[in-house]
Amino acid sequence: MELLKIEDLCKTYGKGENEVKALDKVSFTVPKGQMLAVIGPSGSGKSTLLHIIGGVDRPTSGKVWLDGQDVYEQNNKNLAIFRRRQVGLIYQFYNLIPVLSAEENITLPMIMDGRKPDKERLEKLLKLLDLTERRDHLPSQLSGGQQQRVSIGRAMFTSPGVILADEPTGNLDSKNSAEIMELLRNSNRDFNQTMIIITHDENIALQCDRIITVSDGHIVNDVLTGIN
Amino acid sequence: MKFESLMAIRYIFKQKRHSLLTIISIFLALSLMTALFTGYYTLTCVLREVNYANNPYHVRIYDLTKEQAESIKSYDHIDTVEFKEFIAGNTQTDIMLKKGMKDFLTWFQQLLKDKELGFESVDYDRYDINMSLKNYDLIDDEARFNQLQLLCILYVFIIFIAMSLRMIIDTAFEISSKERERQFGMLESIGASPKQIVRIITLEGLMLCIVGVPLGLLGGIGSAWLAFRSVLSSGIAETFIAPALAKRTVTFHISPMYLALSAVTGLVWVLLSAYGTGMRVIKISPVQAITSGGGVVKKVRRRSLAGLIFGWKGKLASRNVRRQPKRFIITVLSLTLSLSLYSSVEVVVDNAQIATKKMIMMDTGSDEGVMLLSPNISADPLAYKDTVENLKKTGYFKAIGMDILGTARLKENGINTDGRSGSTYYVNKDWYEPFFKVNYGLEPPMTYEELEASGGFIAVSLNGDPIDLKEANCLYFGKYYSDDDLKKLEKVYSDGEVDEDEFKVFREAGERAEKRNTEKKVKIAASVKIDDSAFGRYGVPAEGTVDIVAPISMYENGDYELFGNYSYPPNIYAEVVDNASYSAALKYVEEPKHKVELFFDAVGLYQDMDAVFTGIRLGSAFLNIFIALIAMVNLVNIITTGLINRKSELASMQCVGMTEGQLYGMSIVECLQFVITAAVFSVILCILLIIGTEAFVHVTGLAEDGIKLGIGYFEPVPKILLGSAAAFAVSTIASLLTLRNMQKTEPVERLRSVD
Repeated sequence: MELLKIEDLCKTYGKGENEVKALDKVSFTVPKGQMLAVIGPSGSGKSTLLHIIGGVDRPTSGKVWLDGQDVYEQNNKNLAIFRRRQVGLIYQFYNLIPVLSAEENITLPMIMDGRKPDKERLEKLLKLLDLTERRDHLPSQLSGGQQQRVSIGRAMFTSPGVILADEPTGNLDSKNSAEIMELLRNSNRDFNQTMIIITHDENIALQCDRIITVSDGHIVNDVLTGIN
Repeated sequence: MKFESLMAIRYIFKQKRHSLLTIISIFLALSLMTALFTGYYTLTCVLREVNYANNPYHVRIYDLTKEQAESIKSYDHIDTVEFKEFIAGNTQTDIMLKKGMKDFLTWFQQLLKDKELGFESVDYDRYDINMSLKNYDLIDDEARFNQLQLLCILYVFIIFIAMSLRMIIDTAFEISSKERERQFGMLESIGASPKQIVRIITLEGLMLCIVGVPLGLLGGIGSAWLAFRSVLSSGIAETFIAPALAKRTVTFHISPMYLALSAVTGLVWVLLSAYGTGMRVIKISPVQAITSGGGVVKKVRRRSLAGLIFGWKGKLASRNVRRQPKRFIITVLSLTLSLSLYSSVEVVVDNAQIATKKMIMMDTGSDEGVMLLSPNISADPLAYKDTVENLKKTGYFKAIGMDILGTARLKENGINTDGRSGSTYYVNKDWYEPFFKVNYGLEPPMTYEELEASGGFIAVSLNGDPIDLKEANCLYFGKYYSDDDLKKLEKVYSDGEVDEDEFKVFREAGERAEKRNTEKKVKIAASVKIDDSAFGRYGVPAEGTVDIVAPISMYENGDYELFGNYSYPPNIYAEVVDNASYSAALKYVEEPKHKVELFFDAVGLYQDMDAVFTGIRLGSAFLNIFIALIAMVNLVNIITTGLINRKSELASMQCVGMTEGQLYGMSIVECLQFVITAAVFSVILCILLIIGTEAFVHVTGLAEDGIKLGIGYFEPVPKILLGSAAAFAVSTIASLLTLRNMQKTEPVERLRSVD
């Protein structure tokens, strides 16, 4: 069953001579529970694609449907609510809130939603992320790997429709990278969590169910790895 | 330096808004400093001119010969010597000196000795030294030291204010450099040395000073001039100085030295701010500057009041404002100072005005202001009736109260037998109630009509036992003057003023007058007792004495004959109809033909007081506006900087689902925290000030003299709330505009970089 549908997605930056087409009529679908890797050279439009799927950047044209809902038909307020409920974003540089502890960062989307965080789920997640001992630490008191785990926790906590990860291991050493990928893989397998991961790393891509290659704003290759 | 100046110029023109903000900040800071210095200099010059107009000399020597005066001219440090000879033969020599001597007194003693001016020993009656003018004109080391001391006190005060001024400049640099941290990081990564980065920012500061400093000086002079004109328009100068002299002496002055001092202080401030910012920027590693947007937070307060009240938005806001505790404290302090000053100056001036009026009221019994008059002495004891009738006819007065103090006292059952006399008053209807309030601090025990109908006195027991009598013996002391002496007395009073010689005539006539005492049984219509708590016109009354008060009709119907053959000069309390009638009334009473003397002019005094208080209000309003501006700019700067610095952080919050409304809400709570903290501190500060002043009044013994502060502890609160509301509105608007501006770019764009 398809969870995400992207149709003729275009994104153009600049005007006239300076016009750059970051995405040019990109279309594809993602079924629920798939772990998809998007690879491609720098400037190919990977991150733009991810941000548009996540509702943080508007397309110039084209449509994005998530769970049957047209993402960009919503007004700004509903788009924000969509982001906090339907999308989990993981960034290369974590983008944690420096004044909030690890636990507070993880529960932030739910707190913003005016909901009381589920304590049981939080404990499970902290255990899964190996952050129980570090729950009260501020981001500055955590290592890069731990910060990224907090970021993953934040993305997973609301059980969103899709988790979007923009080079989640790009800022980590190989040991931490392996741990993070294992976490994402487990999450995908155990909770049937749909995931789109942007990466430069072929080894990471190969751990996914499907790989889409983007170049100059076009999809040039779309293959199933056969893992699942 | 070529690279640094090139970069500095490029940045100035590239970031026009920030350059403008920095120039405005320098302008504001310099304006306040220049205005304060110019105000001080103008005040000093005015005081000097007034002093010189009244005493145009540094030294005045009496009774020198013309030759002696001439011989002084050639002496060291002499500027001018002016010799005057009077008809009576006495002389005075006014000497003005040049600046630069070491010790004036040594010089003066040497002058007396060298020129043989006829001083056998130091004779203080033969010369006068105008010490104030000597100090104003910086004649000797002592004068220069005194003036320097004053200047230092002023400078310390200005530096204190300038602490918050520096914040303005500082935050202006902070904002512009924060936004360029990434660029500085890039410059460093391609080989610029940290020193070069510091130099770029410092040079930028210096270049902005080229525009900011002259504008600030002009702004300061302009605002000082405006304040000067406004204060003068209140009539304050004419209250203290004769109008003609005021016109000549009260003028605006500009001091190049003070302007230079302002400019140098401003320049140093800007350099320190720019240098400090530069040093902060180079502490961030190039990689950190290029890659990271938010600051590193090492510690946060877990619980906060804002968090409890406003939930997670409050919690975040509370942690955000404390990310830069030093800035938070300074901004709150400057806002506290501004709010406290705004509220306390108003309250203190209002209360001082009320207290002054109360003090005048204690003498006059009217809060509108009355003219206290006395008719001239006359051979006819009832002659004052004509004077009062004439005053009524003028139409300038709405009420004319009157009391006559008679020399009579009760003499019954041990009352007043120890030689202390109570006073006897005959009071008219207009003055009856105020009389009791003013003298005894109480309401009369019966109406005027009832007292008149009773045909008796009201006995007022002062700090003694109440009078429990229906009738009592009263001893009247009469004084009868010869016709010749009466004529002399009338002459004495005819010009309205009694000098020492004339008083001698009065005393001698009194001694020659025939004294006749009459004892008479009088009726006691009512009796009241007052105690220590009563505070009347004459302070706490003497213990054991008894005053008796009767209607004036009793005096006019025969009692006057018991006091002698001349008119007692009664006190007339004339309440003018309105301010417009005042000038005409004043003119009337000042004319000798109307046979009335003005003893005390409360209306004029009220008007003078109003002028003084208006002057103080206007002067403090200008200072308030400046300080409020500084506090507001600081607040706006800190809020805006805080938001700009967290640009990417706020974007990441939006990326994980924060709505614009929630973002605005959080920012409003941040503003609220600054304002509420400052408001709470202001209330505490004002209460402490009131308690401190009260303690001062008690410790110095002023309270025993009847001086009461009369300011409620929470009196400044409404004004503090008003000021806080204004600060909150301004900071909220600033933060919402900044956020709105940010929202023009998608969160992801803001997430990518800090600039």
